[in-house]
Amino acid sequence: MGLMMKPYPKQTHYKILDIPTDASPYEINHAYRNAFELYQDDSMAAYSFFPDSERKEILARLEEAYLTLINPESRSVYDRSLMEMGIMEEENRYHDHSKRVMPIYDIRRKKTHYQWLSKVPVVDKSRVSENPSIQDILQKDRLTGQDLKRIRTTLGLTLAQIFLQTRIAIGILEAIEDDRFDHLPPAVYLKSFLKLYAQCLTIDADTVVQAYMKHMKLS
Amino acid sequence: MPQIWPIGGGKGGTGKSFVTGSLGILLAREGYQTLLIDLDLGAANLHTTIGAPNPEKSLSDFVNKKVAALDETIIPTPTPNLFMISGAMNNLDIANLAHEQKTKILREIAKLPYNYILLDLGAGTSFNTIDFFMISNSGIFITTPEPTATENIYRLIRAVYFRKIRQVLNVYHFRALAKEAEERNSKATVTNPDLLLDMIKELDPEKGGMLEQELNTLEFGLLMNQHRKQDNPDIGRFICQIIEKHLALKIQFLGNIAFDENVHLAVCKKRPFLEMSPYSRTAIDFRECFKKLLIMKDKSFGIRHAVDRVL
Ligand SMILES: Nc1ncnc2c1ncn2[C@@H]1O[C@H](COP(=O)(O)OP(=O)(O)OP(=O)(O)O)[C@@H](O)[C@H]1O
Ligand SMILES: [Mg+2]
Repeated sequence: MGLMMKPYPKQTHYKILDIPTDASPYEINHAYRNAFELYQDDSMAAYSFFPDSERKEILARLEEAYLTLINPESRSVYDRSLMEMGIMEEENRYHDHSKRVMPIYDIRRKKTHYQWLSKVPVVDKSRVSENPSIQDILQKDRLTGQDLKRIRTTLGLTLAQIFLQTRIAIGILEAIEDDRFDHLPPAVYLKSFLKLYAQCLTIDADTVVQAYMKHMKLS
Repeated sequence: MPQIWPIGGGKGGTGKSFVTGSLGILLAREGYQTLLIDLDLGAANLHTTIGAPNPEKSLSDFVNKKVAALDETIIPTPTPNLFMISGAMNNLDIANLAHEQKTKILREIAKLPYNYILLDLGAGTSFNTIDFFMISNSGIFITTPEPTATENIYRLIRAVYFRKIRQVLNVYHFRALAKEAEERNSKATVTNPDLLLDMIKELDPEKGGMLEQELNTLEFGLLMNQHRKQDNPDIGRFICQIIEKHLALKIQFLGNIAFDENVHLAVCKKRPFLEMSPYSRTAIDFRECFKKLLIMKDKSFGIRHAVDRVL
């Protein structure tokens, strides 16, 4: 809903960038880059929608949010202020992944305002079985992240929808689809992620796990 | 019950008729019984995009009670499985259709025995145009990479959003809530329907929740037509992002359709473009968008609902 219009506490820096409170610096960068492109001066999509003053204000807010969150010190100060106001909890803070065990599911993550927007549509199995291009992909004995992504987009699912169903952090889902193996969790976790991901797409989980792990090993 | 795809987009000349005709041909080729209805009364030209001869019957015969049933105005086209109801020869404007004429047409459309019915809505954002647009939950917007065309998309989608709010709340509730919302926040007006919804949710959570659910059943598609090489390929996707973020409506970007000089030639020759240039970039784009559209599909349970509400 209107970014601009809510009184302050409802619009945290996290909401403005549309990221969870435990977003990694990578996710923050990504979110800012995308949002900037969307609202910048020659974005026809934005200048046709907003009066110029309003669009500039959004840009300023985005920048402020970005600069605050990308710096670990200012982020920590900001987080503390949110916790004092009772709109964020300690357990939902970001911790540097290199220093701790990767969380598997963020079941504790609060429902966001936009959640109903991206309700996960139920995928009809016949859409997979009757789609020749998906069937072609599934014939292969190695499945790349790109393959999985193609199946997902063919089914019209977004990463956010997969996240809502599986609670696997979007950063991890992206790393799987981009074949960024060094960003992936240990194999035991990865396998269970792949399984959940496959279930979302109504494709055979064991096939996917085997074929993706094989691809990873051979790469 | 047919799946109904209303095709609109405000600005004239963006390619609504061309897209309606082309999607109709693709559906018919897949074996679907497909009907195109030209609701661009007054400036009807849909038949030229599918190579149909000048129609002898039209929607006005039904409106003027020359024929008793809407299906008597249906004419065949050169493409197997593809049929149409022409809007040609109408001296009436959709904006001036009387309420009962409109509801009669809407009711009859939903009863026609076709797999797909595509409505070419023509330009404009009149009250009646929006009613036709809302006959189904999955309208398709056509735009071009130009500011004025983009503005028209926003205008139309705000109007649809606002109409939905008015449908869900009864008139009494709507007036009372809208008035109070505006008093609390002077920006919560018709031009800011999203803020209005926010305020309504605060003032009356139950009604607000109902509204949100109703809005959640809408799922639109957007097609960027007449896309030239030098145009930013992401504008369409960005427009959808803005709408999803700031109006909380679901809208899927279906893709860019390349600009092609031969479209004009095909229209002049009264031959379907997809038949004349089947291997052009534009034809390939159409097939890709078409695939996405079929996946998106109409949740047609909304149709009866929507028709009933207009009554
Ligand atoms: N992809 C395209 N490439 C080239 N020309 C196009 C394309 N799409 C449409 N046109 C041209 O634009 C003109 C307008 O198209 P069309 O009649 O389909 O628009 P419309 O939105 O239905 O207009 P109106 O609002 O007047 O009904 C046509 O003459 C056609 O030649
Ligand atoms: Mg037209």
